[in-house]
Amino acid sequence: MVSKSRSENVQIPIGPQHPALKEPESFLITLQGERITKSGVRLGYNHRGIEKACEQRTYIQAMYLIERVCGICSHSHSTAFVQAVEEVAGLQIPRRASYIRTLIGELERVHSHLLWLGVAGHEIGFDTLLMYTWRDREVVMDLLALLTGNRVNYGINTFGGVRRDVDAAQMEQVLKGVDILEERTKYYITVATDEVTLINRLSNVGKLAHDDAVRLGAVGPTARAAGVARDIRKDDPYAAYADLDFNVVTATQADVYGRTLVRVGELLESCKMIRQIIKNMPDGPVTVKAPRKVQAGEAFSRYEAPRGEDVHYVRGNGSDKPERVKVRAPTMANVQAVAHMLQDGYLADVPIVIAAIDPCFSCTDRLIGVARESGGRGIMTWEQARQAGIEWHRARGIDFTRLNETFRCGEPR
Amino acid sequence: MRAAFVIASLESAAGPYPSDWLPVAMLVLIAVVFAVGTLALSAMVGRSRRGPVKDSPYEAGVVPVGDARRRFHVRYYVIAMVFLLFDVEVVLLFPWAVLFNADRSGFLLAEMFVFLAILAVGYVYAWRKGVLRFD
Amino acid sequence: MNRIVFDNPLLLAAANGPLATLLLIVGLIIVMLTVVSYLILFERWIAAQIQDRVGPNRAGPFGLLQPVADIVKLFIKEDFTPSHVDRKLYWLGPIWVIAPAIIGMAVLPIGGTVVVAGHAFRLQVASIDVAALFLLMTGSMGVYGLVVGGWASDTKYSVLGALRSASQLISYEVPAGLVVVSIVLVAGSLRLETIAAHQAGLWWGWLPHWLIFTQPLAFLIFIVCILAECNRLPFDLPEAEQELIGGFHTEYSSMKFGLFFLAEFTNAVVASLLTAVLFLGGFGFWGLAGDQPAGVQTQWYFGLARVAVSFGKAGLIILLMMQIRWTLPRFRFDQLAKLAWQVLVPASLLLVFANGIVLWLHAPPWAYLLGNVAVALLVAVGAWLLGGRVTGRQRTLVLAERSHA
Repeated sequence: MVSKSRSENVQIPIGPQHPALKEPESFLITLQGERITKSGVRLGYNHRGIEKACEQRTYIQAMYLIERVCGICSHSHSTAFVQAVEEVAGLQIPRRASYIRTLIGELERVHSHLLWLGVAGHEIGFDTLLMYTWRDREVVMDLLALLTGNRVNYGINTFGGVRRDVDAAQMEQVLKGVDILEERTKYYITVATDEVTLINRLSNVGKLAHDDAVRLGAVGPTARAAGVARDIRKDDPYAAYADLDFNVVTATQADVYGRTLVRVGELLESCKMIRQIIKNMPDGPVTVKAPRKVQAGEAFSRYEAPRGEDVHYVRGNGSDKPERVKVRAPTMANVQAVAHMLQDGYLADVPIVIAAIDPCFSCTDRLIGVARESGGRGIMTWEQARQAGIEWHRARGIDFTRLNETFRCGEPR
Repeated sequence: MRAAFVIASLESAAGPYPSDWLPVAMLVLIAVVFAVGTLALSAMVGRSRRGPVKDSPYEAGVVPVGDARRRFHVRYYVIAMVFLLFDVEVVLLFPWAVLFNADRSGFLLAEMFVFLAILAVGYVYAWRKGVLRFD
Repeated sequence: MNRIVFDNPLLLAAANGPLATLLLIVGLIIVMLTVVSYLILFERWIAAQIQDRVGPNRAGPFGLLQPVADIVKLFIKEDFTPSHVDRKLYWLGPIWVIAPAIIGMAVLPIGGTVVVAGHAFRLQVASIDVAALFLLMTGSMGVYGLVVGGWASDTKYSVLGALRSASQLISYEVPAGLVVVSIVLVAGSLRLETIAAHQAGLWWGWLPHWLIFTQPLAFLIFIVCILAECNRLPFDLPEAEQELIGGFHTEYSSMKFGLFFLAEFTNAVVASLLTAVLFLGGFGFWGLAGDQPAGVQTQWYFGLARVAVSFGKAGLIILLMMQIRWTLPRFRFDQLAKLAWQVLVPASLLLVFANGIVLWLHAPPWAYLLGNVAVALLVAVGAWLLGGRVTGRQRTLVLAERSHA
């Protein structure tokens, strides 16, 4: 019964439904023994059409929708979008507002990096680390709830500033929380630098050298772990970052271990920044009046999300709705590097290598261009696309149109 | 001290104590009956619904590509070969261990050391050949 | 000269009669299944304690009915056999895994002999002269079940998981076997009761003659091996869910999966009981459980105490296994194979040499300890010289200082 094929290569799909991935995405891995000889990624399982939907909504509606691009770095997307719109509209936000945005942004980074640390532990079968970091993450989630009313999707931004002010008591609470977080972060740094099994498991895994990181356009911690000191907060400061004193954390390992070090290092830097923000919080209003209609014009906005550079493009046409919104989530930039990182690695390393870019696939997924059989790109109607899908599966022996007959009322066949 | 130990056992003044294989056979039978019975009960109790998608092999949600039962990578064979080599050695060591404990003659020890040394040469050879490296 | 002389003819009574054996087997299986199902609850509770969580507490008081709920759930789940599998082998797989796990219990001495109503009753199913080998055999037999089940499933994850488990188990079989040879060498018998009996007695009136004290390296190697043989984390590669979904049991559901699960824990219990016999003196416990020099204790309550001591010692080993499980990340296949072939095999081979020489010299017990330490040092130095160094500590967090833009 052994297949006649002489090849020892086995193709293993990882995803779209796979325990290693927390979101649907498909990686096709070609294995020789336990070693990967080829890998490919296929996006598009989670496309939600948010960009297009924004065009049919007013700016303020679009802002709330954009915030839901990502559940973890929601503030990043919302801020990037708001910054772009403010630039088109020619708004200058108050300093206090920019400080509050930065505060939320850094708290979000802490929560995102702690989440990542846990997921990374889980992917290498180290669930205790997951439980620890996610417990500590509760501290920062509670702080965010205290400041904004929500644990995720904070809804703090508005055009021309922020929707809520922060009072002294809240800032006191934040400082207390940051003390706890910093202490825990130091513990994780000890774990990451002292625990030999962890180091052996993460070192030399998912190598992405400096030049490859630049060539493949990696961003965020993925690039910084390869020694590429690229950080929008320094390179193109927005919000209050120009006033803050912080370091860009880089590592030289250029592997998953380096990415871990960069992220725990950034946790410390974030704690430091939060203290500075609270210490130097300027007085004044938190918002300026923003027009309902935005004048014609376009703007790019860059934001250093926890996962890397987040780019938003907005074009206004003078109406109360944007003419075009374009989102380039950081995972979109990093996902191309994954195939390179997986090359010559082990099957056992696939989950951690994919997880190491801190992927957010639902942010990444874009519309797929459909190639016609005659060549060239074309547009399919919904009905055509559905029919094409059914036939594709039918050719492989599965008839989805008959599923309802088979399973009608839960009766056995 | 040891003379007073209480466990019922074997090599006594009354001669070697027989091995009782009958209870082992009984346990084998009962274990198999237990396993089969559990599966049968579970097959009877559970409900059953089938469907074409449910019937297909699980490949992370995509339509299966190629066959699962292909040639294995040669590495697994190599491990099996090395294992065979060492396991035969271990099996030979067991009777030697019992005998050597009884008479403790230098000859027996030397004999086994020569045997182990020959194996060690094979082990070093396998190591040098890269058989024991798995990357 | 290591022969055991029995001062009570009652203990030389032949094996249990058929009825007593049947009773014992059924009793043992019931006890074992109860222990195993509560072990699963216990493991989850331990995990929760380590991870600062609450743990299972819904089913019954303190979650004590959780195992019952689990078993009922497994039974009433749909027993699904996909049509692409090899049906015969698919059904054979779980049976082949659980049966050897149960059969392994046959040779374990868990309670010595008791006299009930004038009849001698041995709390051990079978006393055979190749017990140690028999246990190694049942351990290996289970691998066939995994391979057969994985192969029959005809899914890539299952086949790969099956291959992995096969190569992992046979890799660790070798050092485990060699360690048992070392112990047999010292104890002079393959019978587990004799090996346990060899460890009776106290040094300086308080330290038991347990082999863990004279053979610490052997104990260490054996613990690592049984972790691997029982597919426990950090060696649970065959079923690494992040890579291979469920590994060999990906396509199994209902009680067929349940049997795989049960077998894993049964193996863990049997392996722990074996470790207790080999290294912790079986049911011997400072004379409490009956290894009194004064006389033979055949009262039933001493039998019960000895069973409790056996399972208590096994429990400690299991606790250790669980703690290891929740404090270490999973090993990668190459790391696992290297550990077995490049560290454990040479170490256990050298251990056989060392114990052989000590035995030949008629040296006192502390010489064994010396031999163990010497072997450990030798392996450490060898690993260091051959460049198999662990990556070690790295403290190269670079903070790139850059001016404000």
